[in-house]
Amino acid sequence: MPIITISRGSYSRGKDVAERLARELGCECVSREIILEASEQFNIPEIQLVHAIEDAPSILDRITRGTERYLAYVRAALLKRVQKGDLVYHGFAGRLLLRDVPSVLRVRIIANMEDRIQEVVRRDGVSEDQARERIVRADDERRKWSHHLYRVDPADLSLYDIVLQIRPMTVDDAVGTIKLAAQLPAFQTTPEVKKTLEELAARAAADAKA
Amino acid sequence: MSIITISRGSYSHGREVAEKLAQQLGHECISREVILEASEQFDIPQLQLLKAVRDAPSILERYRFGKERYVAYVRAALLRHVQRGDVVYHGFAGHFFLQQIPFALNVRILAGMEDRIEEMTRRDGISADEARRTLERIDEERSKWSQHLYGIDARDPSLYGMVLNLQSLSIDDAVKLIARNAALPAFQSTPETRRILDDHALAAQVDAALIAEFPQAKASAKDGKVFVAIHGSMSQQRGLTDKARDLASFVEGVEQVTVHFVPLMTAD
Repeated sequence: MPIITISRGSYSRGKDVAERLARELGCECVSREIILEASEQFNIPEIQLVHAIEDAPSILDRITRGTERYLAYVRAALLKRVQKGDLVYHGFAGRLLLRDVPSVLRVRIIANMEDRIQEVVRRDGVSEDQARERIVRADDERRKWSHHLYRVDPADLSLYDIVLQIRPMTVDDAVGTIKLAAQLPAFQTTPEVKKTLEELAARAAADAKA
Repeated sequence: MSIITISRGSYSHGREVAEKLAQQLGHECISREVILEASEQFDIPQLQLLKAVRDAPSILERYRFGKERYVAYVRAALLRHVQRGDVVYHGFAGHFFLQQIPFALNVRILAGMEDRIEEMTRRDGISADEARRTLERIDEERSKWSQHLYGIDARDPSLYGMVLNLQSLSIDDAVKLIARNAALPAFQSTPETRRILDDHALAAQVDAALIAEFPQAKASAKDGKVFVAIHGSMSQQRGLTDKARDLASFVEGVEQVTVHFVPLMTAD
């Protein structure tokens, strides 16, 4: 059984996929909880962590490298959590926070623009134009954020093992495909992987405290 | 029935994935065959067709609608072929040609650059540096080509039902995952989506029949009834309309033709 990260654009059904997948695999589904854990572990106000990892970095931040520091806390908390057992992570930057952990199954879920717009209209009760604007802005923020910190664009397909588009595939279809992939030898948490994980977690904890 | 297209960069193991997949599913596996069929149906040399779908158009060709014509022939041949169903297509531009077919499973296969270089040096016996340069040039050509013809980028994920990365997945893994998805109801034709395929295939035949005379003509079809939009100067309206109608009527399966004439002065 593997560690799975689900990357998703906003309003792309990725959360549904992650939750159902975790339920079916009988493992934990982790998202923003990890921020709370980081907050408790390192005694940092939760709100600061939330801002640091959700907002595009400010000019000041680019100079002081504040975001990197906060991310180190979150990374340490996530690695600690991963050590406890397999999980599905669908919070921010999972693929990046776990970037050097071998055997992570990196999935991206996408939906087409029209479906995403309908999802925003349904959830938030706004007009289609407002919904489109909201999605474009959210995608743009994410892209900037990711580019600033890691010099990568989350839309770059080569960052993932599998990319699945919802529709005509359903959420259940996607869950089934990911479950099948999760059984492949490449994504098993072997004893060697566990050892690497321990080392990474120890180093991340040290970095966070530094 | 199901239709699967495999899109990939060159030297990215797309053929191996396609062949194994087809074998496992009991599907027909096609690629260049479509070029041969287009060549026979429209009496155009294979090489010309191949260059049209493979290479980026030169500046001159961009003005002359040269390649669009050949692309229309290949598209028509492909759509006609896939109407037989249960097929894996791994030739050029399948994901573009079949984008409108709701049940087609468009798959993109990614391989890492290093792996592609290794594959190329092994297959073609050239140096790694030369392989890298060649691959970069091919990728660039392809990207320009799709931008020019369709205004879309092959790297756009929304073109695909699934994308698989061969840096972590083996060829057999990829085949297994695609086969699983191909069996889903979402990727099986229904009577309704089957009709959509037939309509698109017929429209593509009409486009191909018209394109030599009417490079900008665009046909749509519904149950044998065809609607064609053509452009021309006002003074030629009658003659051109009749000509387009004759050409379209000649296509097998067309039962009725409506021509919409757009005078050039008001064309956008």
